[in-house]
Amino acid sequence: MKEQRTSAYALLSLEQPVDRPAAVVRLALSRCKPPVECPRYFAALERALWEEFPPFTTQLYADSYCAALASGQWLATSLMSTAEREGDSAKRLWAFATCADDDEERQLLKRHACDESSHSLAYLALLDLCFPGAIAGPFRSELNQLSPNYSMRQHVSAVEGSPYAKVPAIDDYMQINIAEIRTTIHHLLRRAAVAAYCPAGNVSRATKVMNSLLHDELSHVAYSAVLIERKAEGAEADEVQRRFGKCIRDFNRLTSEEPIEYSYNQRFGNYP
Amino acid sequence: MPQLNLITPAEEKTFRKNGFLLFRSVFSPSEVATLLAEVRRLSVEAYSIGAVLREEHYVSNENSYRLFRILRLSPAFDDLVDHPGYFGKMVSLIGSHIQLMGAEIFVRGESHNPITKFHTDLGNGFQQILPDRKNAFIQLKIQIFLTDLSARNSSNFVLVPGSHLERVTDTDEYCMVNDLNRKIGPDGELPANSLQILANPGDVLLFTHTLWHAVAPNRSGRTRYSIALRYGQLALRPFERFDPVLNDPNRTLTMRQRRVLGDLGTDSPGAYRPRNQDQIIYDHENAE
Repeated sequence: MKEQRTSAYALLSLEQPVDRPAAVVRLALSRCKPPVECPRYFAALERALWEEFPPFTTQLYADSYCAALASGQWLATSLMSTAEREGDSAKRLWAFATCADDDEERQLLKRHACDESSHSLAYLALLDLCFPGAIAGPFRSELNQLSPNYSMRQHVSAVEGSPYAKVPAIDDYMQINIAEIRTTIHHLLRRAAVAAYCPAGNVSRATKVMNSLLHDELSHVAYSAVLIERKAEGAEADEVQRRFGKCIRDFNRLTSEEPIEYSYNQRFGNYP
Repeated sequence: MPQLNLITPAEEKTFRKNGFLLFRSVFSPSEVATLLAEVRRLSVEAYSIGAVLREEHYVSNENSYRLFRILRLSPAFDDLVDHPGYFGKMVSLIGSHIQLMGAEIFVRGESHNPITKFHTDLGNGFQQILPDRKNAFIQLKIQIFLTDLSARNSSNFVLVPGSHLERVTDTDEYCMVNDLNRKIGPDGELPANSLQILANPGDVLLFTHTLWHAVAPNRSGRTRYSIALRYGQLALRPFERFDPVLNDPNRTLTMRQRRVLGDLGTDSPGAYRPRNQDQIIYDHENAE
């Protein structure tokens, strides 16, 4: 398993940034047991990526991200904000899981929510491994609250007032899917910097954490792709593509104020 | 160092009076052949997969459509961005704060009636902002004609000379010039004050956004293919994103082409005062 995870990183790193989303998806689907192809999903994704062109698929974005990581402070902030995002994502997924009307979907969403919940802590663990003792004790303890600490043993229960407390539809899985693809790409970009900042004695543990994160991200890409494929069955290809395009457009808008996206959009005069 | 081929005083005077200029033989027959082959290839491909844009409010027949975002579809059009045959003229009229706002292919097939009725460009707001004798222009379009339009009613570009200075009072959300469109005859006869542009392959028409324009019937038995490029002030919102083109690793674009496509660089404080704009637009070799 360790070998497979390591090669996943190596394989994906070899791809040109513009080809990485498709490579992430192909690899994720090939790791399903048995491997699946999801042609409807894949065609719609590729078209939607062409139409909406998320900045994170460009070489410039990769260069900007890596340049930013030259600052340890930026890496630390990025790990903390990713921990926060994973925690928020866990709550959204949990809310979806409470409302899913299909048992398999409920279980998959719950599993994903639990993963995101533990990812939130994993990113904080990376923070500790890269910068031991750099974050003051009380604040560091407070950061742990970013994770809702879900576990599979817990029963999913309604999240009061959550806008995500609804039966998840194909659009929701598309949003989940594109967000996971982007997270995977961020992971690839961040990985070398994490290893570089880690004191030598921590590199091995940090690598284990990152391998585990990458494995999970690919699983999330795969299960959401499979559900999109299933829900797209019988629908017009154009309609699926249109929906995926809108989801990526909304996603671009949602992420447009994040630092690298912001400078990218400023440079090219985009108004997402 | 190649100088921009700026507009002459006589050309500018004519343009400001009539709202359009026709430049003959900007593209050689071999350049036209290359562009036309690519345009046809893309049109066939797009048509076959349904990736064409039909605008029922503008275009009245089944045989006509357009392709948009064409720079993304092919690098064959990259050199059109700042082609020496017209780019200097655009810079003269718009100023150095110029950008490309969109690029399209027009396919105009057989039609007994006018293919589009008279309208202006750039929406209702800008329809009411008329050019004057001195101001820089807000938006200009060029049409690169790739097929023979030397006879009338071949889906020629139709315009009303001088109309760009007249305020449209009866219009709709598509900026139609209703008073004029009511004068189109039952058999597609165009109003007497309109002019069908008779163009040869390789000719280029330049016109401003408030010019009343339409497309004539096409009874020629040929399909018209043309390319339209829309240029405007840099601070306007473009019609399409060019960052996919600018980030295409397989293309080599000059710094001027990059700037015209909206790459403001890493040190520019925004679209209102981009750094080194004059240098990049007027003197691209030194700026590279």
